[in-house]
Order: sequence, then structure tokens, then C-alpha cells
Amino acid sequence: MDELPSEVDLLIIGTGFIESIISAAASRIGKSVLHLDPNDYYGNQWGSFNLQALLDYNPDPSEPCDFRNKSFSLKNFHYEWLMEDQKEDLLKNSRKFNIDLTPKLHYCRGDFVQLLITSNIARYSEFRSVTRILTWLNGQLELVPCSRSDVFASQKVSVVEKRVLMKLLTSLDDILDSENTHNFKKFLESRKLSDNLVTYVMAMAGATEHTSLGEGVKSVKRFLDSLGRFGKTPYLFSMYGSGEIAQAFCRLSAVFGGIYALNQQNLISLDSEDNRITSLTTTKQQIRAQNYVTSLEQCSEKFLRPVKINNYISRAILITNKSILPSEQEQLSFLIYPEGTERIINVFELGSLTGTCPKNYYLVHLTSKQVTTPQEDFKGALGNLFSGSDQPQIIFSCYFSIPETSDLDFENVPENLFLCPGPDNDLDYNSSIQKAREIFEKMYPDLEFLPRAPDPEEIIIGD
Amino acid sequence: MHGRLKVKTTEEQKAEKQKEQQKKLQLYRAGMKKILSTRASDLYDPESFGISTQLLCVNPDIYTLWNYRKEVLLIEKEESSKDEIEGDNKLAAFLDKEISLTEQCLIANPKSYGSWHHRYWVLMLHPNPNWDKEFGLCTKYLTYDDRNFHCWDYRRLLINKIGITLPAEIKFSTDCLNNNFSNYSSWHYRSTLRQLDENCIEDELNLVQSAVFTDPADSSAWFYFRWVLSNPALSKEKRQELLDNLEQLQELDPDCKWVVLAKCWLTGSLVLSDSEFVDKRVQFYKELIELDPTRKGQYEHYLKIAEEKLANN
Repeated sequence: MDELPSEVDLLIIGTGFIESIISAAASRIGKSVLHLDPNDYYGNQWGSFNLQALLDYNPDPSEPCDFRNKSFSLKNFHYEWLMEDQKEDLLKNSRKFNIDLTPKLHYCRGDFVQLLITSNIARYSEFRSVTRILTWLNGQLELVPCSRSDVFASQKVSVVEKRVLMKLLTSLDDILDSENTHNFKKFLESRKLSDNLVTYVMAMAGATEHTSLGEGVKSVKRFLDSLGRFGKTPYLFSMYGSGEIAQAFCRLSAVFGGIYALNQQNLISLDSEDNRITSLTTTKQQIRAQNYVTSLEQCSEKFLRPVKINNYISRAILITNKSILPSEQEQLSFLIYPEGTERIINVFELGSLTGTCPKNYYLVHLTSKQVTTPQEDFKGALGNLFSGSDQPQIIFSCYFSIPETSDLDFENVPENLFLCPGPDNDLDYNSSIQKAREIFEKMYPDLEFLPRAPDPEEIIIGD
Repeated sequence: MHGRLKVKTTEEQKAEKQKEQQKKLQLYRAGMKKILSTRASDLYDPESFGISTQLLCVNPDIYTLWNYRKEVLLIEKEESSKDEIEGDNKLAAFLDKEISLTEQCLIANPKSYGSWHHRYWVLMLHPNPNWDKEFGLCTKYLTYDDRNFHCWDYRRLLINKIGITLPAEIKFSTDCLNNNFSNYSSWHYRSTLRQLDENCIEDELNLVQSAVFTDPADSSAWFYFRWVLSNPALSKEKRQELLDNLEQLQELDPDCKWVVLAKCWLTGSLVLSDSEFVDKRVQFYKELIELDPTRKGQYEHYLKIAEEKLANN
């Protein structure tokens, strides 16, 4: 292999979402970027895997080294086949799976979509809109009417309820200050909304019984603002999995001269002096850079004091044989499942049209704040959704926990080393983009973050 | 400096674009010249026919070319009628290609008059037209743009030609409305489908009430409401029930003029002989003058009539 450059402006280790955005943003303004990853795949904990690769996934490296620490790796990784007879067929189709460790949705008018458009990265990626929003009420799945058309067409909402619901949704701007209650659910109930309307609006907000009024209203507004742009619901999903997104940014970075090297097993250490990183030492060479960016997962523990992870994200991945709510056409469903009073479980059900699983199968992602273990956290929901005789059957399941690192602070981090947290529990990428932008602005205070990239026809090739 | 992208300036891009346009223009001129010259000598020249296909795919609004193709198709029909055994099949195969061409042209411009007309004209000539496909096409283009009036026109043409399948059209109309009820065309189309009787008027009232309760400020559904109210099949009890519903809606939305207006329609201004609710109407018109001052004169006029009627009672 050719030797890597010995001096660059920015050295990045890890190809997670945040690192990849920073890489693209820095290359875009003309900085020389060297982007390395000890893994042989893109995305770290944001990555996508085919089925075989998921089975081979080893979240627990045998020995921590300077570029791998145990604290931030996935925990409780476990999978099992519930229908052994289907195993062979699925493994034969292994490459038709794109299984996300961290699946995300995008608000159609959210920061992420805005960034894709303003930076012209949209051309590197494809999306599919979520076709329906479901929630769980009185022991059954309910379609959440999200647009004006849905409210009109809903058979389950009386005409008066239609008016009450529409009135609430169109007057959110005026309610904040005048209310007596500070609890979102109590507020909805005080507006004389019937039980199912309350459940629908709670689902739009992704709210629990503890959600505050301000937060609930903000979330519903976000939901409504993103309606009517790209489809029937406010959400988009990345074709071929969310892992594609990190790669799209890497591609942009490479177009602007970023140098990529994956599967870098020969990294030895980041050397520091006077609270600054001076160089990266590999078995072959020393690489110097002005700034260094690494993912937490691939950073030496010596820079990460104190390591104290308070929260985990529970994840489950299922392969099933039919949809939780079969319909004429294949649907891309987002189910907001309230679990107890404090937690919601976000469920994405993806069919073959998303390019993440083969035909006649569904890939189901469950994500929630962790309370005990992923198995326990999802037990109730899975029992309700996948146990009846007419319900889909689970062929394969995989569980793991992702450490929630977005709110961690470390002491005495070298001043030119910037740490990128792993995935958060949000539905979308908003806070991660924010984090990437912050790091970028710290390194390059007065420069533009991801200005529009030129189209291919605007680029001069050759001289 | 290495690894830096060189980007064209806007001037360069503009010049490039202009060059491309010039090239297109030349091709267009040459193509038209060729076609017109062969057409003049009254010849069906396959090469010209091919060129016209290409030109139409880029710009489906050159009606001269559609007319030229019609001439060629007539020649083709004439030819095929000489072959008693295979003639129909040959013609059908030829026309099928023509139908797919119009479909391609509609992708380029879904509002191309020429493409829609030509398509229908070809179907008329076709020995064995597939009407189901036409309904499908119509529905498909309406999902792209539910205000594309060409689709609505085309659908009416089809129905006039082959007759109506009521359940299918009711379903189509309901689907359109479910998709977006702020659409005069959808409501109007629905009103043309059937005569309302006691059995179906209930469904229509439910449908239209769903719309006005969802968004009372949207005028399209109110017009349909008015049309349903004008139906003699509406019973007196039903009227009373509707009036109660509208009262309820008014409580929720006191500033919406359409609700009061609908109450006027309901209490008799559509059937002028009805004098039972005159006192109420006097009240409604007074409310309307407040709510909708731009149409004050109109309401004052109606108010005067109502008040006179009240005095005579």
C-alpha cells in the first residue's frame, strides 16, 4: 500500500456520521483531510451491514488499544434464529440486507434535509418517504391521521373531533403562555380531546406522560412543519439504510480531495505534548496535522476522563415474514409505541422497496431508551405485535445496547483534539449535525460550513 | 495546488448552455425541414416519421407534427384494410406504438394538449382499444397533479365514449377527495356521477360534512354542500339534523362565514317558498353582514326580502 501523506490540515479517525460531516465540510473549504478508520467498513456505530456481516459483527474487541476502547463499544450484542428453517434462504440473500445499527428518519423540513439541499449532497443519496404513522391504542394498531387529508378521510374520528383536532393543530402558536398546566398530556385532555385524539397527538410529538407542554408543542410543530413536502408523512428514510448517509458525506469529502483509508490496523498512538496532539504514529510513519478529530469509540481512554456512561439505547433488529398491518401496497411504517408512562419505543418497519431487505420479508428496527436490557425493554411490545396467529412471525432477532454518549463531557482533552460522540436516541440527525457544526466552527471559526457543492457539469475535468 | 476542484464560472456555464441550445435549434430546424418537404410530396416517408417521433419527445406541443402523424396513421389504416386476415392486428400494433409515444410525450409535458388529443384520436382509430389502461393513465396523472384539467377532460371523454361504471367512478372520486379535498374538480366530477336519492344522499352528507368540519375555511366543499342541499330528496328531519350540526360547528368556529351561509341555504333560500325559518334567516343575514363585509350589499338585499316576508307572515 502507498504511504499516507505525512502532513495534513486535518486528521480524522472514525467514519461515523459526525466525523464524516466534519470531513466533508473541511475538504469542501480546501483543507487537506486524511480520514482513517481502523474498521474495514464505513460508519462505526452508524453503519449498515448485510446479514452475514451483522452475524460476524464483533462489538467487543479482545484488547483495548489506543484506537479502540471497550467503554464505548456496543453492549449485550446477541442474536438468535427463531425459525431455523428460514435461515438458509435468508443467508443466501444476505447481501440484499442493509441492516442499520442506528436507523434514523429525516424530517422533510428538518436541518438534515436542509443541509442536504444547501450543500448539494442530495445528489449522492436517495430517499423514500415513510408512508404511514402508526400508534398503539387499546390493544391494537391505529393509523395516526397526520395531514389535513388524513383527518378528512379518517373513519375513526367523528366530524366534531375532526374540527377539534384541526383547530388544535392549527393554533399551536398561540397556546404556550396562557396555559395552567405544564404537562403536555394534561393539556391535551383539558382541551376536551377524546382518548384517541390524545393518543394521536402524543404520537405526533413522540411524547410520554411526562413530556412537558413546551416540549410537546415544539415536537408537534416540527412534525406539522415537515408535512406536505415529500410525501404523506413528515418523514424520509434513506434508501439502502441510514449507513449510506455517512458514506455520502465521505464521498463528498473525497471529491474535494479528502484521502480515505479504511481497515487501518497499523495505528499505534496519538502523541501529545503540552496539551496538544503532535502526531499520529503508525507502524510505518508519523503523520502530523493541525487538528485531530476522532470518534469516542476509537479514541484512547487516556483522553477520555472521566468515563462514566449513564444511559444506553436499547436496540432490537427483527426479520419478519409479513407486515404488522398488511395492506395492498408495501408500506414503510413508523410505529410510535408507548411503553408504560415514561418511554416510547420507535419502531420502523422496512420492506424491500427501501433496499434494506429482500422481497417478502420485513426488517423491523426497535429503538428505545434502555431501562433494563434490550430483551426486557421490548418484551411487552414484541408480545403484542408478534405473537398472535394472524400476526407476523419473527424469523431472526438481534439485540444490543448503544452507549448514549452525546451528552458526555471530558476533562483535559488536548486542545486540538475534537471528540465525536456516537449515536443519540433522537429520531433524526439534528443534534448530531449541530455537534458536527460546533466542532467545525471551533476549528475554522470564520469559514462557511458546507457551502453548495458544484454539480458535475460545472466541474472542469483535466485542464 | 493538488486535489482542488476547478469549477466553471457562471459565464462559462451560460456560454455552454447557449451553445447547446443552438445545437438543439439546428437539429429542430433540419428535422422540420425534412418532414415538411416529404409531406409536401404526399409521401409517407419512414425517416421523416422517425424524426417527428424524436422531435415530439422533446417538445410535444408542435401540433403540425401531430397532424402530420395523423395523416400517416390514416394511410396506415387504409393499407391495413386491404389485408383482411392480418390487417387489424397490424394496425393495432402500429397504433400501440403511437399510444406509447403519447405517453412518453406526457412525461415531457403532462399538460400537452396535442398529446392528449392525439391519444384519444388514435384510440378511436384502434380496432381493439384497451380502455382500462386509459382510466389507469388518467388516475396516474391525477396523482402527479390533481389540478391537471386535461385528465379531468380526458376522463369525461372516456366516460362519454364507453359509458360509466358507477361503483368504480364513485371509488375513484372518493380516492381523489381523500387525497386532497380542496379541489373543485373532484367535487364537481362527483356531482356529475349520479342522481342523489334517499339511499345515497346520507353518504354524501357525511362525506361533505367531514370536509367542512376538517377545514371550514375551504370553500370547495361548501359548494358541493350547497349542491347536495338543493336536492329534493333531503327530508325535513335531515335538514333539522344538519342545522344542529352546523350550530355545533359554529360554536367551534364562530368567525366562519360559510357556516352561516350554509344555514341560510338550509333554511330555505334555495327553496324560496319555504317560509318556516324566515325569522332565523333574518338573524343569519345580519350575522353575515358582520362576518363578510365585502359582500354586505348582497346580504342586505336578501335581508330585505326576508324581512318583508316576515312582515307578511
